[in-house]
Amino acid sequence: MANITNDVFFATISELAARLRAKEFSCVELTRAFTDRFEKLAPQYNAMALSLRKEALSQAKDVDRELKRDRTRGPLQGIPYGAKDLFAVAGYPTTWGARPYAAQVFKEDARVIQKLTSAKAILIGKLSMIELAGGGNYSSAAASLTGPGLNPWDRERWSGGSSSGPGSAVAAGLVTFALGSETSGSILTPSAFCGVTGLRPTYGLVSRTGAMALSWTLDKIGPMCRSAEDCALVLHEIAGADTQDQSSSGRGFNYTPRFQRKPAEITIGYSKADFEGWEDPGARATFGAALEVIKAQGFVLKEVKLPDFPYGALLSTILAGEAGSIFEEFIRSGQVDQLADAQQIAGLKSYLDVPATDYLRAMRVRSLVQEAIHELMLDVHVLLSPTRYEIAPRVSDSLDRRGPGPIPPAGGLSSMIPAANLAGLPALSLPCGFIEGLPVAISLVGRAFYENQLVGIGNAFQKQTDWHRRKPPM
Amino acid sequence: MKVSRRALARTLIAGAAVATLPGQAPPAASTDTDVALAQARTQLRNTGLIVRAVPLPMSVEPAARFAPRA
Repeated sequence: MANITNDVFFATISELAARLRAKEFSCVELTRAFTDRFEKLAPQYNAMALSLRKEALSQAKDVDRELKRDRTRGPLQGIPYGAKDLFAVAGYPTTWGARPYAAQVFKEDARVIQKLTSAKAILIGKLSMIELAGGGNYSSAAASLTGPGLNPWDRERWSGGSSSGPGSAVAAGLVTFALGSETSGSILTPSAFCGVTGLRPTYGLVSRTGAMALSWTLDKIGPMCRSAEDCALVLHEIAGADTQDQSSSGRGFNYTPRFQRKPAEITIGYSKADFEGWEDPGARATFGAALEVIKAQGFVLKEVKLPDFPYGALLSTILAGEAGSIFEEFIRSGQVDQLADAQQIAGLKSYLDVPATDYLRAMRVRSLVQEAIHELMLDVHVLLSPTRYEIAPRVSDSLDRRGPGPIPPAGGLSSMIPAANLAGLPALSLPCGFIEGLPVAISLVGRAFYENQLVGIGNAFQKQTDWHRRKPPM
Repeated sequence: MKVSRRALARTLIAGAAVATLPGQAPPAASTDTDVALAQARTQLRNTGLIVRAVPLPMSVEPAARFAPRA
């Protein structure tokens, strides 16, 4: 029986794959160790929706048979992962984090699950989430069937949402990587708050078949991992055309680290205010140091401003119109009243009142947003900003009010999350330090389908820093 | 106009009865749910006002297939 040491739980995909191939342990031993850890620790963070131990061990036996015959498939073979409970797994409950859907079971796996199964990654469990991915505008971290997602760095703090479970599970070494989703911040926020590396791909790059829809215009699926490279390895497997998904761009993704541009050929747009404008000395030092690491790599930095649009209001209106339609029967039937968060219930109900003209106007303005951001990105390859402008709030605090912590500077690119989501652009969140003992991160937003460039800059940043390797106190 | 005491008494009693007939009871106090829904609707309306304030040439169409500009 192999001795699975603690460092295994915090290894990257490549490190773990190498150790599997070197037969330090079998896939069954690895899967058992991860599943034991997941079942024991995930409830402490309210991160577990469901353990899939039996299935996982069966898949692990297959992998061991293949590895014994030296039949290698790729870097994800035998790697344990978790999936936000928004993705269908055939024959098992897929709750969408919401009490009314607690017994919902689908007959087919979501496309991304199918792809990871083909790559022989091992799904060990479903991970908790904010109910219905938070579409109704929730006010509390407890807006979930499984209770508030707790942050492994401080269990009195929120892990972020709506991919709460993925954030906690990766940070705490319960899975090597996780699948999350984002409509407006749901991959980037828990990644930032939990100190993990998260990638929101370009809209249409990853199939959404079998994933709960919240907004057809805005939903994207992406990996949350221990490193930028790990995000690329997962994206390599899950990206690709799907004729069943009307939003599918038809494009795939091949991770090509050796075809990176030299840093001097890449211009990064940023705002000085975001890095030097913090009043709090700790925040200024942390974000300032991250900027210096980027500068030291030799990238060309250029100050930019986001085009002037009410991004939040536009996104809210589009989301309201689409979520109201997606969940129309759920709302009209009264099932919505069974949700955990009163503000979310009210929000969803109000969506039935969105005038068609408001929705269409927001979609038309979105055309202008896309055009304007496209123009901006003719001059820069990437936009850099803090991922979130605050640290993880206390679980007991209302999410409607800014909690205690450093006050963000005025100006800057603080509307980046709604802006880039409206434009459908990819983003990579990289842990960059700690403020008041809690992780913070920087975000790189790239041109559409330029994920390789984002990962290249991320790799360079993570070669010079070790924030992504830090482990929470357990 | 002369009204008999009996007629007046009937009118007064009928008027009092009307006030307590089913369907005509005074409205119940708003519940928390109603307040939350009213607030959500107000927020939606305010958001709509913000969106409507963005200048928009007639020729601009909705982003058709939700695809990002590559």
